[in-house]
Amino acid sequence: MDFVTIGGLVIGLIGALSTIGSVVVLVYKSRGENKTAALNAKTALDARIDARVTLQLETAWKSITDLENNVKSLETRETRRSGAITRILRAIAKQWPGTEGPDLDPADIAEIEETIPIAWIRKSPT
Amino acid sequence: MLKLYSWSIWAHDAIPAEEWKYRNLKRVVFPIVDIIFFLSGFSAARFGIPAISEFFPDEFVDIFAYVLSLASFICLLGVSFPSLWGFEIAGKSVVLGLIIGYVVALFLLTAVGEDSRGFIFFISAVSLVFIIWRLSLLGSEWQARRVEAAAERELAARLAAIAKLDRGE
Repeated sequence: MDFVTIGGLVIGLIGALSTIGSVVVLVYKSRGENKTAALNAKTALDARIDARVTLQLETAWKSITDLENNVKSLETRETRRSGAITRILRAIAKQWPGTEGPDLDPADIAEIEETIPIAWIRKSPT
Repeated sequence: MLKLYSWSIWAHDAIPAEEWKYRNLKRVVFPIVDIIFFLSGFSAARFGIPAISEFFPDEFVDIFAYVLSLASFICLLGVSFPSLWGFEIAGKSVVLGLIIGYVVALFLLTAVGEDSRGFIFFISAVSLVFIIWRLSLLGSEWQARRVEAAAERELAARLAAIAKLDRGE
């Protein structure tokens, strides 16, 4: 074989091998684990999980704070109410004719105030 | 047209923040390299390639030139629109094979005494650096895509497990 034929074969062979080889190398390389890429992916994954947990915690804490505020406001309202009822009862008792005082249900009184004079409370049936 | 621009490498968010310093590689250098390869194929189709003509008939030289132009154009599309990365890998591999073939032809001619081909041999070898470098980058990006896809699948599985727990299952 002459130089031109051998040269043509060499050029064709090396050119074709380079094309196929580069694709094979890239496919092989893409299958391998890249530490940086894996680390980046893990960091990104952790960040997304953190973000989700943070969001859930924020939602939960907001809900808890709202409930706390509601309870506080109910407590304040209830204290005011029971105070008012006590004052009303005392006022009624002061104006009550006779010495016995009003006849009240002990269970109802226990619900609102402990400072009602015992004498005003209905005796339990014996 | 605006949609096409938003898919391109020149869109505002096409380059990740950590690559911002090197944005002009993808936005300027690689497209210019592909345009030069395309023009070289066009020129070869019109005026021939003396070194290749020494070994192959004119019809083969024409095919060489047209394939180089077509592959370079595909590479240009691939570098312009990152979602076409697969086409760019295919095009770049073909360009690599053609240019290596040309460099080998110049080497063989230089080796048998046509010393004046030595200069163009080295200049052509320089162009190989760009092609191999770009292919290497494409390989790394392919690998990163694979790892990220695996991470996405893992995240979806974990979120599904958490959702299951939330439902009390």
